[in-house]
Amino acid sequence: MDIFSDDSKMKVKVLVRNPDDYLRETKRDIHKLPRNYDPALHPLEAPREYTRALNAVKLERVFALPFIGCLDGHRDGLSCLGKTPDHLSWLYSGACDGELKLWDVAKRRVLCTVQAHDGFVRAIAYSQESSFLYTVGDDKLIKQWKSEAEDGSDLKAPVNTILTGGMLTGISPHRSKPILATCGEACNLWEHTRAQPIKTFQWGVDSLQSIKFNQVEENILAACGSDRSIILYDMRESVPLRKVVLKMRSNSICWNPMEAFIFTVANEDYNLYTFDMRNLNSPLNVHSDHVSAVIDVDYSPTGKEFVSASYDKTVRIYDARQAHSRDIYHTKRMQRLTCAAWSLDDRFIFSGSDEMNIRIWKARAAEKLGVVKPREKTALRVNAKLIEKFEHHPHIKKIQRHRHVPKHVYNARNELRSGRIAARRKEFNVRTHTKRQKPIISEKVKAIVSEQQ
Amino acid sequence: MSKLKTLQPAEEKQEFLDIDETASNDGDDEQKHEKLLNAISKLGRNKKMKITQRTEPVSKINEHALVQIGTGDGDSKAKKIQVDDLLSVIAKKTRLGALSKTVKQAKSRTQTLKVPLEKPQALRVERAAGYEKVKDEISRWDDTVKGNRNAEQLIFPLNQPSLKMCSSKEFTSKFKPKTPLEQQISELLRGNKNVQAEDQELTPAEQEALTSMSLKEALERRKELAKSRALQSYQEAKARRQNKIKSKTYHRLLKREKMKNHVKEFEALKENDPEKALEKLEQLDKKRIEERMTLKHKGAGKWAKLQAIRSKYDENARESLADQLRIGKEVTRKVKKSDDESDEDIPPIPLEKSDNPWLGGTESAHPTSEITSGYRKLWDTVNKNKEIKKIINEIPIKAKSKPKKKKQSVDREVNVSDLSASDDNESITSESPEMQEEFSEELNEGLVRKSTMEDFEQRDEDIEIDQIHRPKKTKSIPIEEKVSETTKNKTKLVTDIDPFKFISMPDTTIINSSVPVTEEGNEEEDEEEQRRMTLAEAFADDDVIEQFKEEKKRVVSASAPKDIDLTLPGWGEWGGSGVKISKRKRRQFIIKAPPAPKRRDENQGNLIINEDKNTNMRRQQVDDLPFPFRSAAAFETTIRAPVTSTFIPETAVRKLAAPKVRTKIGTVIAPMTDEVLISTTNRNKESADKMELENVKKSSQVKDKKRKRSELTATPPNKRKVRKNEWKITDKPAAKSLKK
Repeated sequence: MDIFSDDSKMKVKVLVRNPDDYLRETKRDIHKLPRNYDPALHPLEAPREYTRALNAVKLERVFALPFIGCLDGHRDGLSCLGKTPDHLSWLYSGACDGELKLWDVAKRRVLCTVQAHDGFVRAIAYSQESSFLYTVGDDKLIKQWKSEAEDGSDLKAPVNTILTGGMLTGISPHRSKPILATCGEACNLWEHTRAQPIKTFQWGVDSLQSIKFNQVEENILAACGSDRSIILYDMRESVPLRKVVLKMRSNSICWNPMEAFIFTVANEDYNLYTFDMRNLNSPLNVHSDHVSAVIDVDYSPTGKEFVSASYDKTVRIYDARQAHSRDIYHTKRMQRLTCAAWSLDDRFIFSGSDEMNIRIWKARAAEKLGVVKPREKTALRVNAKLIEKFEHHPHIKKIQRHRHVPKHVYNARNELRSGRIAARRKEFNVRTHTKRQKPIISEKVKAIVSEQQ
Repeated sequence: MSKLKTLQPAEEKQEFLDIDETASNDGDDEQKHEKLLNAISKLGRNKKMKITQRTEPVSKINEHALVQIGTGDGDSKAKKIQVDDLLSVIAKKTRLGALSKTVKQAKSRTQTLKVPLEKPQALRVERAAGYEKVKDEISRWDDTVKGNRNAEQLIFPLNQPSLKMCSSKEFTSKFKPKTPLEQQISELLRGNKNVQAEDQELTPAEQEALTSMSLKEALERRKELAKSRALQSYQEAKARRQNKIKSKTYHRLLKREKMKNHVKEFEALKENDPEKALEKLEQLDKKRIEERMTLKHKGAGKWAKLQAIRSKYDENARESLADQLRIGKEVTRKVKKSDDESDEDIPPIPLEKSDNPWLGGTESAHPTSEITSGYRKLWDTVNKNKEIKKIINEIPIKAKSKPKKKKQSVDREVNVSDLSASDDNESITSESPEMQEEFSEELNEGLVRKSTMEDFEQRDEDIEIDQIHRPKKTKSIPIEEKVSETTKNKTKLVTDIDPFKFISMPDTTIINSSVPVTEEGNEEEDEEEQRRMTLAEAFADDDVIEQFKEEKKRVVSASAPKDIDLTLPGWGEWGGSGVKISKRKRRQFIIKAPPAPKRRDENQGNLIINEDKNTNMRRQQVDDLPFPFRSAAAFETTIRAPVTSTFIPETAVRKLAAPKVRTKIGTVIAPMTDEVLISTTNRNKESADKMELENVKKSSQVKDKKRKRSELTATPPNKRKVRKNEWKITDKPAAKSLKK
């Protein structure tokens, strides 16, 4: 007892910590980790982050599985796709046998099938203003469909059919007025209650293969002509506005939904050209990388990127301001592509091809679908940031940019590249051995033949 | 007119002829004959416009039959009828007088319209005009587009309703008491004086208490304040006055007085509290030492300055000045007696590493400029002096054995004898290993004990070698060798000089004796500093080779493997200050490094080959400056800035890692609409204003309906609900709202 009492008198100094600093309140709480962020204590910050970035980029490639699934059911090659802003999961598709299908993409099944035209269904467009679906076909008909029922059952017969005089190849609705623009032998403006066009724009005798209304500046529209031209129209004017002729034909045109004056065309010369509407002398950007004619182009609803479908059996995704593609999608069985569309929630890409299938892809190959919890989301973002930080480092860049491509694409690319190098070499030699120098013409300007008023 | 001429077809001519013929039927023969002659004569000539003459008045005049005057025969050319001629005829009639005026006006205005363009050209013009118009129109999106492109983060869909977080203050301000209890409480609180307002420190009640002083009290307080203020001002004035006094004697006296006071205090303390007195004594002593360090024996005094001027010519003055400086050095050296028993004699050596005299301070001076040439000699002698002193200490026999040296050494011995023996000893013993340890801890942990031990051994060896070699060489050589050796070992040796004080001394006054120096404070120092800097810049290139050698040495030593010291002080034996780690332990726990591999640049004097270049590493590094960056430094900073939560707080990570584009799952992103053109900030502001307005209205309503409490409860929630609904509507894509 004496001993204890003695002990109790003795004062012993001990280290004391406040449990609030290191204990969780509940089991669900995160672990508190007090940390000293003094950079002097972490001399290897950059190397450690580099390693993390390397891991992140490798993981990104591991998880890059863009192909989600395919919608099969058509009995002929696809010719066109149509989106509808009223239903995110709906997708219209037209085939070369005139069949029109409405798909529920989320469930991957057909909602409705209808024989819309004799011959090709050339184009499908949904007018949000009037909530009607419009199709044009090789039978020179514009058909107006009602498509509001949730199960797609009201797509059985067209509400209205307009018999037109000439071939039709494209259709595009005005964003806020009940007006349609069709192209074919000429550019026509229709009001859906009338049987005759309210306006006709003709510039030359050549036919047009694609037409699009500008969605932002709503009265402006643009079309691609078979005389290799791109023509701008103003709906309010009686004449077209301007024409620019490229070296080769443009197959398709798409306006940027966020930048009113920017549009991109898919060209036969394997490139895509992005133009500023106000300066048609030279394109803003030439997007190369395809190894065959580009058939279709569609912008992402954010206006930051676009997808292109090519005859070389690949789909490529471009940053709208970059010359080279961000990603390439291909599968073994996917044949020549005829159409591509970017979903309106910026998450998916649809591509239609010759072998009768519509394919669904992720817009960002490594993105996780489904529920992402906050911590995971933060981790993914940090990883993305790390990759962005170190993207210029060769090892990381190599991993990030490396894609496996089909052999035919690989070979064609090499062939094209060698051709380009040869041409460049020749030009250099010519330049060095001629007395009178020719002016240097940039690659961008080279593609343009003339701008016509 | 000419057009008319050309347009007349031949058929009509024929017609005219017919008319003529018909007319000739009943005309006279003479005319007929004339006509015939004319016709015949014209046959030979070119067929020109035929001028017909009207011969018969008819009701309908053929316009082509009108005679063109001036185009026909020669005689009729002169009489071309002008409008004026006709008018002059009418002019007489007053009724038609105005006609002439109008004709004049019309004449002045006449302008023919241009020919309309041909269709292709016309279309082109129209198209160009339309294009320009559209271009202008569409350019209104420029700012928006640019803004979106440069935005840190874009959240789609763009036109989301402006929701904002309410701060707790805002929320509580909206609180309305509903239950009777709440109302009672709020009533109590509102009227109460003891409730503290938002931005006030005191409650109204407290303030009242403060203000409610009696008049007398207030006056007293005021008086007090005035008094204290006056006193303060007096003191200030006095201090200012005293500060202004320039007299040195006054200041000296003041100082002395202060000292006396201190002494008095000290005496008093001595009796009362001896411990404190001791402390005080120490403090005083320290102060004295500091004072000595800063002022005396530095060549800053009047006498020293005079000597400096003289020293150029006068040997004596030079010597005395040197003496003075030496003493100054001796004094400024911190004196500490070592506890250790180590008796090794280490010569006192200058502290500076660099040879540049103006960077360090007093000790190492190898002046190069002509002005200081005299001083340099002096300085050399000082140095030699020291060296000799050392040598005397180490090898007194050898020094004596040289007759020529003797003469010099005699002189110096006088100097040495000036100093007390104890002083000498102290200066020698000041370099105890413990001191070195202390110093090395501050600098670098890499230089630890091992180096001292070995160094001491090595130095002994060196000295021995010197001693062996010395007899062979001339007398001056050993000294020089010594000097070079000492400079070599400079880094390892430490003197106990307070570095801050040391640097702050304005001792360069001697070097530039021509520049007047005062004893004043900061400005002087700054000037001095500047001068030193400029001099340093001027002589920056002096010892490039030396620098290179040093650098090479550094590189070599860095690449050489180092011993690993795993000894733990106090582990297995006693630890604490002054306790040495035992040899056994050291042997056991210091892992000896293997000998350094041979370097490729070992025998190549002026070459450093970087041998730790790593090819594997190189592969991971960036070759060129990446595109958006303008400078390598900028790029490096981005790489250096960490982004993960290991190195920066979680909140910062979240901010940094925020994605450029954010979209909402399952939401349609509609194309841009005109609404975006109206800046969002304005819109938010407007909405906020609206909200405020509504609040004001509501509050006013509340005031009105204060009496009718029953109605109060029902209104606000309803309104809230309505607003929610509005948001829901705007959530839908913008196109619909536009349509409406």
